[in-house]
Amino acid sequence: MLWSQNAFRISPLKLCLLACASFLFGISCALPDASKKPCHFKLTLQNFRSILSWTFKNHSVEPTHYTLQSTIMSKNDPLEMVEGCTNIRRRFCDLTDMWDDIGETYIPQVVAFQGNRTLNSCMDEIRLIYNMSLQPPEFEVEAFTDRVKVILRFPAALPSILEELQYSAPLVHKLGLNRNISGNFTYVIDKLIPNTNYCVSVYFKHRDPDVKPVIRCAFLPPGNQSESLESDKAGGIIGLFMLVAVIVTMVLRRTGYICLKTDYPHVLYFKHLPTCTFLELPPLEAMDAVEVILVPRKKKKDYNSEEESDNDQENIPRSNGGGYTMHGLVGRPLDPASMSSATLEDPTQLVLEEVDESEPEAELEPLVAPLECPDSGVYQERSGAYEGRREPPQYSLPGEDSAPEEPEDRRTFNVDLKSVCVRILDEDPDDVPPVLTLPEEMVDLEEPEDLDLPVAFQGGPAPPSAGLSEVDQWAEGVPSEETDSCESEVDVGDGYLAR
Amino acid sequence: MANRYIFQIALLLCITTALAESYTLDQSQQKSSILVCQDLLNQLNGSATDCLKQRMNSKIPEEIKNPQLLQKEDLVLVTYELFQQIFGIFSRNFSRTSWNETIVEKLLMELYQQKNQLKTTVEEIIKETNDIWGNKHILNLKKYYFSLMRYLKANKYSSCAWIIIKTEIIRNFVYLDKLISYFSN
Repeated sequence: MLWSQNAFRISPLKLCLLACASFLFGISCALPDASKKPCHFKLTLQNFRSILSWTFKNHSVEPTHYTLQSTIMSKNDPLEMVEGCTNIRRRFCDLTDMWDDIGETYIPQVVAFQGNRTLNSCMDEIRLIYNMSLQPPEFEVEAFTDRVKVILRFPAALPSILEELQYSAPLVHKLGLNRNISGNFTYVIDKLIPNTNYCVSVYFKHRDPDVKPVIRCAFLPPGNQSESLESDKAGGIIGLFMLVAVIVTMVLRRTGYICLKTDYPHVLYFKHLPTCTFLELPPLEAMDAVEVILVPRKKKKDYNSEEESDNDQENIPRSNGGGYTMHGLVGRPLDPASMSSATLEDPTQLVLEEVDESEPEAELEPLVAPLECPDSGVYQERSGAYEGRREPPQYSLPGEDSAPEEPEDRRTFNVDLKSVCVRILDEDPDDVPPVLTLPEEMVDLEEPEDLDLPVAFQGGPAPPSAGLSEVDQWAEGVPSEETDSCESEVDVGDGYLAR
Repeated sequence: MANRYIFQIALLLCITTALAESYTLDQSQQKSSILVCQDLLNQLNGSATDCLKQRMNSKIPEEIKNPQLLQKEDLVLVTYELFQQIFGIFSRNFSRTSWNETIVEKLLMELYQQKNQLKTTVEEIIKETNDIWGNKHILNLKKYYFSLMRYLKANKYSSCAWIIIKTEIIRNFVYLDKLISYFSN
């Protein structure tokens, strides 16, 4: 009976050991053995998409298709079929829209089939924060002189997990990733050295060490070359612009839109003439100098008698229709020595003197008249010898001021008889004194034959030869008190007499 | 009467704001501490795929998952409460698991240090406000961790229960790290 008692004491110990062994066995059964898992899951963030891929181990038969199921640990929900990953031939599945909680523990299960036969199944737990392999986004590098531009390519629709990632796995340069980013994102790295090779790599800060980042290199061009190219371009553009401007200016000048040419008469170009020559007579326009010398004669009562007019050289005051007269115009060529200054080539000058009728006993007989009548009407007052016995009259042309007082008893005037109009107040208003006009005009004289003018005023100036001959004739005879000094008469034509 | 409460609320806001500003200097340390705790928990063996039948429906507060629901002044109190509660959970009997006790002790030491660093700040807030129980976020946290305690006790601190709790605590640390990162930016 003793043996039965010892047997009773041993059996509880055995039971205890057995229970412990079974308990340990149970615990070991509860603990998963990674090495016994038939497959391996890998979660990768590719281009901001959560891609779950799997690989079965030691399968003798190749599966034809797969089915993926999933659940989470935070809820007691059964496994659910993943949409788009049922009976698929590929070994990966896009779970971006399904797995979006970064703190959650997801339980995927993939079943491998061959036809209708189930080959194997595999289940695992995956935490996005620990098990997701973050691959950097696609990017490009553009090189400039002193900077590098990195262009990141983001998909059109970013997943919600992107916001989770920016807190847990930021990119190296801490790009502000959010759901609003789409398209290309540009990041510029400046202040670089030209003519240098730079390599750029974009990756998440908390990246998988097994994932090697992609490196892209770019060589920065030299700064001088780029600058010279830019300066060449700028110089070319400036040169082209100037050429166009020159061509346009030339065209406008030819067409007359700018810089209009104005051909003024030569005489109006005063800038080439000195101021002192402004008042000078033009060289081509000859002026005749006539000295009028009053010759005292007997007072005639009847000026209209022909004998008196033939015998004396008195300048009978005549008037023509214009009210002008030749009275007082007695000219004779002057002695060049008597002239203080002579700028005229023609020594003849017309000297105008007043006939003083108030003193009959000494009445000067005016001696003629210019030999030539130039075109211009320049009038110049000269001081010179005056052969008259009286003071020269204050004679003035119409529209001009009277001649200043002369200290001497004679004054010399250079008058262009072609442009001189002398008006005399005659008793008979109907009498029109003769007019000394321009060469183109005829002197309208009532009795041209009565004039003592030696030169006929016609349409043009008198021939120089005639003028010179007249000068000689006059120089010989300078009667101051002769009543009749001119006996020879030269008919110059058209009713005029030259004495 | 209304003016008295307005004054207290304004004073509380000023104090918490000042404390929050000072707390920002320790955020980097908090984040590194969170990473240490997560690594230690991952070293504790046990697969969740074997305990799918013992899963529970998690009732973690929404303000822990969504930082937008919290104020910056609440971050100190939430962080302190979280460290304190997790420390209390892992101080319980885990003998039915095959966990390495050294790893658990390291985890408890890390939680204790972080809790002590925040304790001074939290006590100052409590002294000024004298109404820490009025914070609804703290109340929600207390309810949540009480449910975890109740789950462990109901499942008799089984290994699968501890695996489920371990999985849930890892998730808590992820959300806390997200909270700290959110307010630091």
